[in-house]
Amino acid sequence: MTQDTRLTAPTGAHALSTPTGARTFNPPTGAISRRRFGQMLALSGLAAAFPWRIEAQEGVRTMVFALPELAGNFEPHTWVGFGDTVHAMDCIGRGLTHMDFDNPLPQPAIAESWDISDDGLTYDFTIRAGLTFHDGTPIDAAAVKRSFDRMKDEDDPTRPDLSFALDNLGGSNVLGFDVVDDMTFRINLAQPDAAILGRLSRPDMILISPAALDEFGREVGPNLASCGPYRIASVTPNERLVLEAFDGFYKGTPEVGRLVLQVIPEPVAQMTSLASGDLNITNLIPHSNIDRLEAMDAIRIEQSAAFISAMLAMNVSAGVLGDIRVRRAINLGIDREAIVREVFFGKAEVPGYINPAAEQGFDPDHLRHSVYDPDAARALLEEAGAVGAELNLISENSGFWPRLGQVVERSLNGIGLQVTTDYLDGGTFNARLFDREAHELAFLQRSAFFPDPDGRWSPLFMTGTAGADSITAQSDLPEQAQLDEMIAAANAESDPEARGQMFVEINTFMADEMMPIAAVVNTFLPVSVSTDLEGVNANALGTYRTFLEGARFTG
Amino acid sequence: MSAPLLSVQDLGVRYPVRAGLRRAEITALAPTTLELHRGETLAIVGESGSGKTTLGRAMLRLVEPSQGHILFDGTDLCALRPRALRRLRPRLQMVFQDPYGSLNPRQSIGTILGSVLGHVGVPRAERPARARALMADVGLDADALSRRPAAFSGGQRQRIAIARALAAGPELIVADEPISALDVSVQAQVVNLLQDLKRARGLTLAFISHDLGMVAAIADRIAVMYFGQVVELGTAAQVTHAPAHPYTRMLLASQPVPDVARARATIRAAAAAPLADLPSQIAPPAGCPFRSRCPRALGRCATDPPTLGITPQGALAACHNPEPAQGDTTE
Amino acid sequence: MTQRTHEDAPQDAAGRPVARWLPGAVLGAVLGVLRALPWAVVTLCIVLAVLAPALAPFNPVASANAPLLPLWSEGHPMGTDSLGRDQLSRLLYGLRPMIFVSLGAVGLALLVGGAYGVVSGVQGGRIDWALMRAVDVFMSFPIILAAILVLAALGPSMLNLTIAVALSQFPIFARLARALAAGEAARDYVLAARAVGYAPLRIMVAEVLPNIVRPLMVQATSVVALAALTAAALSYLGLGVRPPAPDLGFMVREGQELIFLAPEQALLPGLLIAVFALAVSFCGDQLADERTRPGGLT
Ligand SMILES: Nc1ncnc2c1ncn2[C@@H]1O[C@H](COP(=O)(O)OP(=O)(O)OP(=O)(O)O)[C@@H](O)[C@H]1O
Ligand code: SF4
Ligand SMILES: [Mg+2]
Repeated sequence: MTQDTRLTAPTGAHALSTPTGARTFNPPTGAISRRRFGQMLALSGLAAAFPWRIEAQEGVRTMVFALPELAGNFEPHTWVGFGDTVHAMDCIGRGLTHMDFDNPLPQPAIAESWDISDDGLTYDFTIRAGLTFHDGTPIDAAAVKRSFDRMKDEDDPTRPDLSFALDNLGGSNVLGFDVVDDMTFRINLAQPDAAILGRLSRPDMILISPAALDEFGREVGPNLASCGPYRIASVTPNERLVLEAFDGFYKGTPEVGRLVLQVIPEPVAQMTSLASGDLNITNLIPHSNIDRLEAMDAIRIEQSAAFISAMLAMNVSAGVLGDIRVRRAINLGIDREAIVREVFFGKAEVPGYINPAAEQGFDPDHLRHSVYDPDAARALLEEAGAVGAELNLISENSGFWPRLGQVVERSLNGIGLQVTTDYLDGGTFNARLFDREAHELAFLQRSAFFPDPDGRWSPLFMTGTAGADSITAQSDLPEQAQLDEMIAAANAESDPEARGQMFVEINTFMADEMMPIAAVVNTFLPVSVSTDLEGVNANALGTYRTFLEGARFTG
Repeated sequence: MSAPLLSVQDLGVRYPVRAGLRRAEITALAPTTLELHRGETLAIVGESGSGKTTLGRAMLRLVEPSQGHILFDGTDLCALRPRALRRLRPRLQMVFQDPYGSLNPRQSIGTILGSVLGHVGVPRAERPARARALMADVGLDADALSRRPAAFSGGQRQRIAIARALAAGPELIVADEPISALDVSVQAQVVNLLQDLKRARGLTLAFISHDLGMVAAIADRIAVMYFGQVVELGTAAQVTHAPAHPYTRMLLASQPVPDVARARATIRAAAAAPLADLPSQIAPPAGCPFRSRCPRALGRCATDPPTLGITPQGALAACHNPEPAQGDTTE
Repeated sequence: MTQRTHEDAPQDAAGRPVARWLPGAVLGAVLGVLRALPWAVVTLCIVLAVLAPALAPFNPVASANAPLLPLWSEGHPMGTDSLGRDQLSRLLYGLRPMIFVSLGAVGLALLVGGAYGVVSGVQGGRIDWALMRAVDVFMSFPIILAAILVLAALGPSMLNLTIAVALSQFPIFARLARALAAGEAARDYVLAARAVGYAPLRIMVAEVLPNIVRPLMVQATSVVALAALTAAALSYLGLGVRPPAPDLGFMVREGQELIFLAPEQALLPGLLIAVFALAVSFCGDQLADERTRPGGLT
């Protein structure tokens, strides 16, 4: 589980800042011509296919992807599970913007461009012309508004229980939505929030066909019609989801005609399926087996950027952890090289600070915050009079966490602390994590659902969030007010370069002045693919996102 | 005679049983009233299943009676709280039918006797001597104390069981068929031992047996039971020489008595009666339970249950048509 | 007479006598060794677990060398684990939770379940009915789930694991003790004890208990294997001792992830669990056989 689903975005603690000039973002137009080409191709195929159609269907290449689970409910605004809410959603749905995890900036998707008002409070999105949903309903500003109103309007009859989408878009900072003209959709904000473009690429921000909403209402989940690269052909819960390429996709019809998301929860079963060719792509195989898989002819391990971070939260309200020298000592006392080697079998990297190298906000200078220096750590502990202090660390008891816990415990005990670790089931872990009275040190995982530099800041480390108030309790620190201001200022900056630089400084400030978090390691989900497949977006798959529209078979 | 040592009034025992899917009750002991006087031997006889053991145990409240009262030396045992009852218990002892089950196989004889002695307050130091004396009383060697029950024969075990009962210092002993599991050769020894001890210690004895002939020799009074009821109660002489109840007569006839002709007559009479098993305990018949086997049955025997009443012989019997006083068996 | 001996001798399918090539003495010796084997294995495991601090070449929780050294590496005959800890030392120490927990849990279950069952069997009546229905309810609860709840409530530790496993075994002993005690309570010596005026507790402890202890002990031996497996399963689920302390069940789980890379990481602890459980259950069977054989125990 990523923390992404547990923590919600702040609800408007953004400070005012001087608005920059309005700017228009105009993407290259190549995608459209590709889409037209695709349409022509599909039409000609349809015309020619009459008697051979079934034959032709069977000739379509099928790509198989492994799912951890599948409930068969694709309601984007509630959390069902990774299988439904992330993997399937990314294949079926698409929103106004897209982040492909190569380019650190948001790219146009269903919106072909956007205008931001001078005060940063109004975002006007121009909808790409000529697009339809999977069910043929045309996409216009009114259709887009329908999907967004469903997040905000509590009386919308199609709104599901426990809808969390608005929180992930910006909560009460989102004032409302307007249809400016046929093809122009507007989002109104209370405070500037430059992160919103990235947020619009989340899987819960996908657009839903108004015709499907009319027909199915709250039951739209099993009958989702969106506008992503693939549309639903058949669903067998707990077994498989069969998808077919959508010829109206804005980037053109995906080359692989059929995509099967097959439930294979067991890593061992995934490995044998990969080896036998029954499975083409998976990101669920543990790091420990990657070297072994890579040696096999039929399988290739893609290089992914490390977007998944493991951090050590230090509760500044708990005993000796209130002393920044102790927190600095702990940060210096973590042997990150050993963690990369022993816990991740080399499939990870030593971090800088909060933002990983592949995101804006990272600067090589941050590497100094992840240096292992046990002697300096011991000296700091001595200075603080905290040698031999007993500390408790809480960790989940699944996945790589127990191994990570043991190495962190070992290296902290090596600098003169006495750390014991409680390995807990998910429920107990969360209960203690979110209670500042119930933990001292705790592991925290953060993956990038969208690689916006703010993805790890305003949802986690601003006053009022569970992260800052309960997990690290850093809201108690005097420097927190300045941190809040810095984050708000960065999110009011709509120039991407300038904004990125502000996040570089935010990382430096929190590390140098506060140190409530020790960055431990950055890793990725190893992406294993068949050798005859190329164009797989490995960076996205390495951090739970599933963009398979670019994949094609070479053989 | 003086006030009775033990008197039971309307004492009855019913057991809940399952008859198919129904819950039912069987009457193991119909409400019974009788008295035991100090120093006497009361014999309780009857065939198997007639309720002798139930009566013997209920008298001591070792089974929980469903109704009635037990007055022991003026105290109502049924009204006592558990603790008070336990304090009284050593004065009422029991000797069991099966000498193989009545001694704890894991304890040495010394331990068995020692803990009873300890329970009745004999100081630890005195217990070994007392135990040896008890062994001598029942005719066993003192070195038996170190052994476990498995090392002894049935007769020896019964002596040990008697010693255990004596160790508690009782006033009343209920001996439940103490000899029926023993070889004929040792039966007499055990009976004589009991008689001697009773006389020597002034005990009151309730002696349960199915052997009317043997009981006649030792009992002062005899209660005859049939189907959970006392059907005849009288002195040993009355019951054995001039039985009033047809069932008592039948029991006497089944004993190896010299009067062969009389026995034959009774047996033939019983055989001539319609063959019937014991009546059902769950659905007891309306009239006299002995009716199905009774050679003297009358019409009203089928409808009116007989109650104990004075017989021509001066005893008590529950019969509408008791045997005539002179023991005439001719029809 | 000759004909007769022929018929008694073993024959092949065609009815011809087969030579008895195994003299009785040899057969007996082989059987004797086979019977002794499980006892030897169990004893060995216990000795290894107890002497682990003396026998283990390395500290089982400290990194001793490079991670994932293969079997028969220099200085590490069983290799090292993914954190570079000596696997032989971890296996030796890892025996301890399984053995101590299984023996401790069975002991605890025997004590508590035995007492519970004796009360139920001797008191009889409504008390018996209520106590046994409670056991029925308890038994209808999945063992592992119940244990997980206990451990979630108490937190993972060797003692709590023991309690959880004991809880899972409690009904076995409660029922057996109840049946045995009820059988004893119907015997006249218990009635005699009541006639003397002994208190119920004394009757249960001094009279009934000594007579049912042996079958309970035999039962205990035969469920140690089950307890060991339950303990291993719970540790596998991460509910056992607190890492980094070694524990066979958790070692299987940690090793399972490496099953392609270094299969011995999961197989060795798994094998140890299986061997111990199997040996213990053979020992239990032998005791149970002796109990039912004429002239045997009880
Ligand atoms: N615990 C019990 N539950 C149900 N029925 C019982 C119980 N104990 C005795 N009975 C029944 O009560 C009746 C009387 O039994 P009891 O043992 O008193 O007879 P008995 O005259 O002593 O017989 P025996 O000569 O065989 O010892 C029998 O029918 C018996 O089946
Ligand atoms: S009452 Fe009638 S049936 Fe019963 S014994 Fe007397 S004569 Fe026989
Ligand atoms: Mg009897």
